[in-house]
Amino acid sequence: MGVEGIAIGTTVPAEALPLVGGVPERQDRMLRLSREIRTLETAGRPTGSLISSGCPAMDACLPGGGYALGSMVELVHGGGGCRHAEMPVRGVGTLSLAMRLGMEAMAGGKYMVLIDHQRQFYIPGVLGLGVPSERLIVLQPKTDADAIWGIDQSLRNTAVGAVVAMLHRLEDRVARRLQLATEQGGGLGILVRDAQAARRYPSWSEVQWRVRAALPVSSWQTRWFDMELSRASGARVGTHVRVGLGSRGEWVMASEKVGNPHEATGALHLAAQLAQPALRRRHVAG
Amino acid sequence: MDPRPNQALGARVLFVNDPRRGRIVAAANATARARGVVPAMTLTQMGTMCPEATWTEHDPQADLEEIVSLAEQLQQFSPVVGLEQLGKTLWAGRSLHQPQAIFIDVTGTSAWFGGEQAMARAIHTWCSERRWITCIGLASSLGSAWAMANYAFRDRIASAMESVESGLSQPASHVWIRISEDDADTHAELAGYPIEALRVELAVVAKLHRLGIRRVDALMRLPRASLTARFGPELLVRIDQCLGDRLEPIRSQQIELELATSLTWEHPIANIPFLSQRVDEATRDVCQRLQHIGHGALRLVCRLELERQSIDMDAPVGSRDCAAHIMQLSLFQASNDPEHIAWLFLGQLELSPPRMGSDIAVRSLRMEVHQSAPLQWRQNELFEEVNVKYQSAIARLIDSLSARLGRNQVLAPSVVRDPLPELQVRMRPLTGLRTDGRAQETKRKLSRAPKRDFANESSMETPEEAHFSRPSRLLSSPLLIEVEVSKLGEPATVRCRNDIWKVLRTAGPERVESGWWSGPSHRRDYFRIILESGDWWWIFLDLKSKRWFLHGGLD
Repeated sequence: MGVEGIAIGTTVPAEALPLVGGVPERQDRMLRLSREIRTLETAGRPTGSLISSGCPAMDACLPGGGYALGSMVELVHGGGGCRHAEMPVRGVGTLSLAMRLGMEAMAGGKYMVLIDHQRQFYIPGVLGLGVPSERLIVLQPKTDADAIWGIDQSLRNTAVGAVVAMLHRLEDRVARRLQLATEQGGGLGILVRDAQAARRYPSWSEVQWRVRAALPVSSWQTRWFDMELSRASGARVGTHVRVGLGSRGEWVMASEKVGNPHEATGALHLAAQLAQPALRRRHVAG
Repeated sequence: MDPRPNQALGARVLFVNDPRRGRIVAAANATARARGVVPAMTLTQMGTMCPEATWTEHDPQADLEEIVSLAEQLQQFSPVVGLEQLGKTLWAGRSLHQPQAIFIDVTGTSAWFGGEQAMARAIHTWCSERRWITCIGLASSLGSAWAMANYAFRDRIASAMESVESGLSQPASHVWIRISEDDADTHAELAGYPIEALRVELAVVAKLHRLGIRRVDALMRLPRASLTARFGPELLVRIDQCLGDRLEPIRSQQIELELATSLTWEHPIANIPFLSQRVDEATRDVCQRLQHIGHGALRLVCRLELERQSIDMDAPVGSRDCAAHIMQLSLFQASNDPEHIAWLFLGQLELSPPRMGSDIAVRSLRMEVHQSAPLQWRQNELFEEVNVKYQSAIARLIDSLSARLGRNQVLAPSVVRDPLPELQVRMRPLTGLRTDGRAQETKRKLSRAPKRDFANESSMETPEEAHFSRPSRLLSSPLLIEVEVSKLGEPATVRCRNDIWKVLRTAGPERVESGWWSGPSHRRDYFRIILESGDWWWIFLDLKSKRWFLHGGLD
């Protein structure tokens, strides 16, 4: 139980890393280039304010203090036992977090589309979070292809504030297609995935969180989560934050940002990331 | 009829949700009826008689689409084909208030088939080939034809249907055609029928039954002058319609010219891109007509007439024509946007194209607006422009999702009061007709979704724990688990699929018992548990079998 990340990451001291530029000019140039790359990457996205998560501690970890309009967000189950992937339900709480984030994106009268291709979402539990039922549309596609098409179409629609789906397998091209659709629609695409699938398939998401249930549990009133920012363009990867959800779905005052454990050592994370130079480059560019 | 030949269907039942009585039988096939299942019976009663029956919720829209499609295709036999017109309330002898019979005007067309008998045979053969079991009545008035089709073979139809459902016989082997030669023949025929054959309301039939009048001949012996005073005006009208003394029109499927367009080609079309262009043209034409009257379409039907290219002169008349290909659209919100409607039709054309080939091509196209509504937006609040804009965009999304994925896949959820968690959710399709197939609910269905009233929920649920008291994911069939119980009777360890977890925290039990009126009884004690891994589960102890099940996760 608890085998979650591959423990072959190498922790390299910062001074041992090859320097990108030896002089400050080079560092400035690198910074400028990274900004330009980011501008190019986000060219298709609608301009405007950010979508706040509603949780200040979480916003503080994100570039600009919130989620960019038209971006994909992934919540990856971080905890659980070694055979958890075989379980038909989990109970980690990632879906509740996804719905809570989606509610913030519904501001101004927008709609939420819930992709329920496994026919497992239990509406009384979902509505208990405070999601307005009159602006909730449930899609129950019969096939994975239909599910992807439904997500794509929903994301492209400007009336949709958030699309929430539990998609574990996500091919590279499909992920890119969804990213472009999100940029066009200007809402939030929120995917809930398990850790194994997230490792196996690449991500085109703007932000990826790893979510673990925080222990010990002191009460039924508040549910605490340890969240680790595992991917975010323009933010520090590896930042930890503890957030809480109240029984009515409200954010409970979270503790301060725990900080980045890799910050001091400049650690290279997973072997999988090292093996994918493209993804690694995107991290550096971010 | 089920399309699968030579396969036993078993007992099948459709149910509807009655606000007072819970789930009641709306229709049952012959196998279920043979076991004693009858419409209006509750599912609980049915369970004791026919426990092996498979039951599904009745979908009136699917029925309507099927019968409309059949009526459209029957236009190959006559240009005037229509569905039966329903009364305000349910007719006696019927369990569903929706069209179930098709009228065909054969005046002047039967000669093309070699007479009325031959035409009726041709219709029967055509229907049998598509696994429809048909009862055909042919008479000089709609009322008598309806009565013959519905009641002439009632005593034989049950056993025949049962044998077809068991796979012992084919629909084609049962020929039910009744033709009346003249008025005298019609009167003699009708005399032996039950009074339900007159299409009268339940209350009238009940009153007549109390008087001991059960057949039409007994009713006809009553003084005509007293009928209206004693049973209301409807009975006399129905008698006159049946005897042909009062005219009754067929409300044809063919829509008046203002809201329909037809295209016919000298050279039939056999390729999809060209056909798509023509569909697009027809859509623009129809939308232009709608714009003139300030309406938007809610329901459209596009009929593609197929024709066989090679002509076999020896083939009987009628066999040269192929069945029409029908595309139907139901929209969430009235629209006359040609691009949107054309896009939806072309999507359907792409997903299920007509069977064209070297031999078969599309001869003509007809697009009809079957239901329209004035295009107007009611602004509820002063600052609601944004919502109105979003409603328009969301309507387009719902239409396109429903057209591609199917209307039963695009749903508005609502929560109903039921003790059993798995029965607390109702999903309603966001597009399509609702009750009787004629009245479209033009209101926003999304805005009518009932909100859950947590304050009045079950006694075990405290308002403070509204969210965490129910799972966010529920298994359709609970998973058997092993639970070790502490001295206090609370779960201490859980074993599931060879993994064992220690339980850190428990809340419960919450006793859930199903009502006696809603099927087999269920008695469960629910617990919320937190595992050592940090997962929150929702498990229950089945008090009847004393076994533990995982029912959901607070994900």
